[in-house]
Amino acid sequence: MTRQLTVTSSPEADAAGGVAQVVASLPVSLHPFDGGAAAGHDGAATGAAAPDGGAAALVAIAGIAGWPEEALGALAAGARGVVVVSPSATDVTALQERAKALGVPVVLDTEWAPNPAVAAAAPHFAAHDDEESLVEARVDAPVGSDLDQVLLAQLALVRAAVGPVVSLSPARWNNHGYDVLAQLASGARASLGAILTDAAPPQATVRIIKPHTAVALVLPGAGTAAPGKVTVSGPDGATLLPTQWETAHRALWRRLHALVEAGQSCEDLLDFAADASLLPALS
Amino acid sequence: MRTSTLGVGILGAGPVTQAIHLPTLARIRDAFHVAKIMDVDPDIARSVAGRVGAAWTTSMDDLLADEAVQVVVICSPHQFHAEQVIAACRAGKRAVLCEKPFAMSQAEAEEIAAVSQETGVPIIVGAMHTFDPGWLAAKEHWGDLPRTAHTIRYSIVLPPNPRFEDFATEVITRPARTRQDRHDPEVAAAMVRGGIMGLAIHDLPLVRAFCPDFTDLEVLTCHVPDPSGYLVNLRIGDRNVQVFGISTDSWQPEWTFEAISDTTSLRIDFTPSYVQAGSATATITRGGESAVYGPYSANGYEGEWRYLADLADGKAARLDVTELIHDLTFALDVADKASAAVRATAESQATGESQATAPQKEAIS
Repeated sequence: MTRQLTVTSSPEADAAGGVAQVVASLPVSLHPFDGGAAAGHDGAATGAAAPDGGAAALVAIAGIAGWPEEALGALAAGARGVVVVSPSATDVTALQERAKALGVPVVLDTEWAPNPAVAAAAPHFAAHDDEESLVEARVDAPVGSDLDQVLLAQLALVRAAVGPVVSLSPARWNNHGYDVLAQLASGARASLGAILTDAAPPQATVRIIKPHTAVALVLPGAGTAAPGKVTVSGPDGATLLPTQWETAHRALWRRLHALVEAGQSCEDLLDFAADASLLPALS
Repeated sequence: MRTSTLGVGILGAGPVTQAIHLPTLARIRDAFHVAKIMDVDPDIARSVAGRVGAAWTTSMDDLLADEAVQVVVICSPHQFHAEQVIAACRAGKRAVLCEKPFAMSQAEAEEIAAVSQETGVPIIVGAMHTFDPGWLAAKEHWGDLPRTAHTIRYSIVLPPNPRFEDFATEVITRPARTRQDRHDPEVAAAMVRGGIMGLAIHDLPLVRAFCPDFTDLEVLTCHVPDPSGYLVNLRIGDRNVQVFGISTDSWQPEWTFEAISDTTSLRIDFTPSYVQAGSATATITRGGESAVYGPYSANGYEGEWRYLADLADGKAARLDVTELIHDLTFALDVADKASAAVRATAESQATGESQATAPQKEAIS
């Protein structure tokens, strides 16, 4: 039986991560924390689980400056899971160690990686990921976006879809976007690009084209349930994998709920630290 | 109303003639008939000419001397283009269509321009996408995008040409394809140069339309994907430009051109080469709203031939040969700098050094 967990979020996290909509769309699994006033929600009557009396089980925070300290505070208050929405680059060592010691999952709600189409695409990308491959990734983001943040989210996407990036080298980086050359752990080369424009909604793509086959992934922004699309093609035709009409935010919260129920932690912070460590190579 | 059609003479009877020009000319018999076909291989010349009831020859001079030929089309290997364009002009023909590139150096291009001026014979280059109704519709509606675009992306995912040639005709001869070692610096440099001058050149005039400072060109990085192609990041003036091409046996072809500003994006999806599959589709998006132009029933091949007919009849304004020279020198500049960059990168990788120095972050204002 699914155990209902209470959720609280900062206004910034709610705005950036659509937390209220996610909670409303997972009414059996999640419930807004009401400060402990209504014991029926967090107590035995509904099975909803709050940690120590007065705190929510799951806490969402915005990834703005100081977010690791805020997350540490949530852990100290007894949170059983933490969501960080759009985390900015910073040192997460202390948080990672504390979360690991407590066995509490801290999951990162980046723009693209949690989309369920990414997990669907991953086995197909894995089959195309070798040292002869070229991974092409592109993000179209709003004018004025922080490019470090855009790149971090793109690195998380490439990691989730294909594999971790181990080195970066800039081709260009200016106020209209960037093009960065990268190498993956597999030895594959990658071309990572970002274009800043308000002409159309944000979108991300990843593809690998091999001499005989190809895999392409197209993702909408995290706030829409329009499906990501995965196309696997070869000489005999192309297959569009089944579409999943779920926002990246909702998929991430389902994952967190499953981790908490299973009593598992996760590697999000370690992966984030590895990706963030690549950024200084660009300056 | 035309009372007789223009006689076309074709120099070179390979796949481009067989799969592109003859099927296109069959669609516009109100304007043209094929009068004579020349190829150095007499069997090919005879066979291809026989398909359309034309005379044949193995001699360029013979074709140019034939009064039944009023318009000359040059489909020979690249290195012969300049010499043949000049010869056709000096033969006093009504118009010349030369497949791209119409020359292989700026000096050749300038000589052609001078001869065209001197003889009065108009020349067009077979950059079919510049005649595509989808592109022309985009030009009509893109507003100030050529001035405001900051990013240009041009991507070709190309299945083997025979797949499309075979839908267009029954080809009787093809150049052999061989797989080469793209890690060899000289092979990589040749692949990139060949890829730019043979494939990317199709839409480099489109790229140039969005790059007013096209002579201020820097290749930032260049890479050859497996098995062959090019991935070139360029700074052209203040524009961020990426030109990509890859050959693959995978099923899905793609041929796209994009120009993007802070507020507007243009995406053009072209149909594959060879097939008479209608025009490109142009999509202009502003503030989340998109206007779509096309596809129209005719493609750029038909467009260039219709224009050539009007040109030969004196009904259309001539193209500015200076613009054709700019298109060519721009393509040569991209090809030369990209091939030099990929050679340097491949050499440094072969010797275990780090990649060629790349520019650092620019200050973000």
